Amino acid sequence: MATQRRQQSQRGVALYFYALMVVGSIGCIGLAVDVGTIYMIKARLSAAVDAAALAGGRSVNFANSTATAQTNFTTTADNFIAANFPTGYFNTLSAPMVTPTFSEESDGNGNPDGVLDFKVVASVSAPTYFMRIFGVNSVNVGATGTASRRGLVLMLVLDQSSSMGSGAGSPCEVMKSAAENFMTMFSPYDNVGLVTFDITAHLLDTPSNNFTQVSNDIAAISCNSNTNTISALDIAYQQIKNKGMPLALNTIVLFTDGSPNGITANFPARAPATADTRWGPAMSSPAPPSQSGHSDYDSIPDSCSDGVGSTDANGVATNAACYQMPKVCTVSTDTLFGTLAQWGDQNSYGADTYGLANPTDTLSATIPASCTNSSGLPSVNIRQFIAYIPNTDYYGNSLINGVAATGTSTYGTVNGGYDNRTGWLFQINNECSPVGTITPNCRNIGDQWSSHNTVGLASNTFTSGPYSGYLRPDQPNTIVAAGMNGSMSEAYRIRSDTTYNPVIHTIYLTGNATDSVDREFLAIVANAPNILALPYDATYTTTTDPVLYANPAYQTTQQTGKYLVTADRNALTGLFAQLASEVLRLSH
Amino acid sequence: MQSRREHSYRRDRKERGNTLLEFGLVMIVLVPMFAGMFTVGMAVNKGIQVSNVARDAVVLMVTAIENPNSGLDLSQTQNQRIVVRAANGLGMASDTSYDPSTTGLSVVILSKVVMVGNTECSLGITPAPTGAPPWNASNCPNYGSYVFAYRVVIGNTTRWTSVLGNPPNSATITNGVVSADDIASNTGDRVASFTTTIGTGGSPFTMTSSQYALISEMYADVSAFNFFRIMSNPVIYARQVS
Repeated sequence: MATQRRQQSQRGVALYFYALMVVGSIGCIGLAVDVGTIYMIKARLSAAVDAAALAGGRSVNFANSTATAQTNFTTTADNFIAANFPTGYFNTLSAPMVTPTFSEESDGNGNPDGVLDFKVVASVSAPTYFMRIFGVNSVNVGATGTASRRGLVLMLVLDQSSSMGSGAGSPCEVMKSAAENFMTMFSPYDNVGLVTFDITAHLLDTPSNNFTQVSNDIAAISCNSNTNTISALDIAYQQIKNKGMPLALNTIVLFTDGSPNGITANFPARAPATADTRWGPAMSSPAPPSQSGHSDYDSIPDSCSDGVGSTDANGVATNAACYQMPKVCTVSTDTLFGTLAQWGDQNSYGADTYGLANPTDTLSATIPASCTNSSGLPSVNIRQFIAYIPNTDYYGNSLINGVAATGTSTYGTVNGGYDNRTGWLFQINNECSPVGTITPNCRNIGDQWSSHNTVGLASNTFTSGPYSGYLRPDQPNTIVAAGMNGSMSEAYRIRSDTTYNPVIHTIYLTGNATDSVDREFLAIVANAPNILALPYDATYTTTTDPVLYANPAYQTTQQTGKYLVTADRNALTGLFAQLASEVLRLSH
Repeated sequence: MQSRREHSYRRDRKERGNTLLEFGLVMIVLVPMFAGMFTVGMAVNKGIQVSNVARDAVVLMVTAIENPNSGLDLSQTQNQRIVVRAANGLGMASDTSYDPSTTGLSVVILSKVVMVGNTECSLGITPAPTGAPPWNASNCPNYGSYVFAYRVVIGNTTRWTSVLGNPPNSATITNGVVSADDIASNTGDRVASFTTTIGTGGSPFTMTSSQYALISEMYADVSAFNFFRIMSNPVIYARQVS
């Protein structure tokens, strides 16, 4: 009976247990539901803040002042949060509270190092369904999204040589308008500087966010004189180093329409101890003809009247290189400093090679007292003073070797491990574009001088005498060759800076004036992977720019730049915009 | 002892079948409940996964679009496999090599929409006409409009379409990238009612000139887990705008 009573008394216990279990289960299920909801909200919110930080970082590009940058960032962050986290998502009690902030990172000394950090903090009240039984009606859910963006230090290097022309519609004016449009595409956290160059390179603006000033300086450009590309690139590089933002995207954008034709060096004086003993006649008689329209310089008369070589049908000597010159300096160890240019109004082989120019506005050409007529610089014929062009220029670039290369090149002696223009003859070999609409339709594309033995002395270097093997100062053609070698070498040297990792982009407008175009040169300066066809190559069309061959001097360990080429000056606005997209990642 | 045994025996006989009945009654409630829990649980799980795939795809797009030199071209099958593997279990793969199936149970649609401004017009209308820049709607037809700049579809390309619509057939799209010319000039490339489609809570989503948005959408058919047809439309959709 006792057992029976006990069984009776236990009756209903299962119900209690069941009731307890239900309470426990509901608690567990409730916790699962509430925590699950919070988890869902948190996941969505963190996706939203990430998107907001990324998009907000981009939006800073579209501001023209730091104040609008802040506004843009805030607006964009709010917009992207809203797009990814709808108000009321999972019954959240309100729209998310968004706090977007951004700041510039700084180095150990407190100076900006070129990185912008974007941070978006958002929080939202998540409702509870079961926890409210315990008095918890809502839970605050927060998420933080961060993104960073490399700032920009960009040096715009613009060619203002005479071949750019002047007046409405000229390449010079179109380039200015394209560059001014380019200046509208930067953010107040970018730094843009301006260098222009003719025979002298001018630093007009150090890198800053004063884009109005840069635009005004672009508008004031007038194009004339020669093309001292090397000094301009070097100023740009120095400015990048001065700005001192190693983590920023350090960029040089080089625009040019032709071959460089100025070199800056300490030139050895032409003095008796080392001078070539041969003498030449008066240098400006007879006056040389203009170069325009000559497809081959075989037709140019002997400007030196030195009687060297064969004569043409008119009985005028065609081998007109004037290496036989008077020596006018007295101390053979002296050097002359400045920029030696090809100059205009001269022929390729000797006459009217003028004096030395100032390389930059702060570097002056100097001539030692041991050289007579020193007061006449820069108008005197410089070949009277300079013995030869040294192999290394003032900046440390190789004027004779160019850059290390492997593979095939149209121009250089790649077999010797270098791509250079030392064996190249410019302003020869007239080729016409397969596209009828290219204006002008035909241009000299140059050729190996060894294939034109009857032209001049067929060499850019002295082939005999005390300066044998050195580049000749008396031939304008050689100065272009040295200028191209030096520019490629300068670009290589700039890119080998592993602190600032500069990248060089180039825009090439071909077809201006009589300057020969070179299909490799600016691709090598930019370190672009491929050599593209020029408008004068047979495969060129207006819609495609076929790859001709791989860049023989492509440096895999250096920054790759963009190389853009056009024969249509009105395409420049688009090409500058392409570079803006490249450096700002706006679109592509 | 005898009497108790008899009593128990009698009681057992009397209650025989009750357990089965109770079990049956409980099961009527429990089975749909567990099935529902399973379905909802799986749906939530898949929903999170779909949302994460959309988010991952946008991160890939950021890399592919903001750094063209990265070599991450999402129009290539080899790179699409990254997305397919992230969507493992959502019926996107066609075989063990993780190649996307065009007849599978899910799709990821990647779009980039840009508000055409100075940069896009400068890029797309070349050579620039006389007097441009500045650009406006007369010298650059899409100036001020939202247009497609990128579109890649990974997975079932026919069953679902983007809420934004599609770039027109007339547009030239290379590796997913709409040509600069189409962006600036092809009026068919505009995204109809972009601001209201992406905008939420009644406030339109606006961008400033030349600003762009990367949009990744994912649809997944989860009807395999839809017991008792609890979900009337067993398709999960998630979108990430970055």
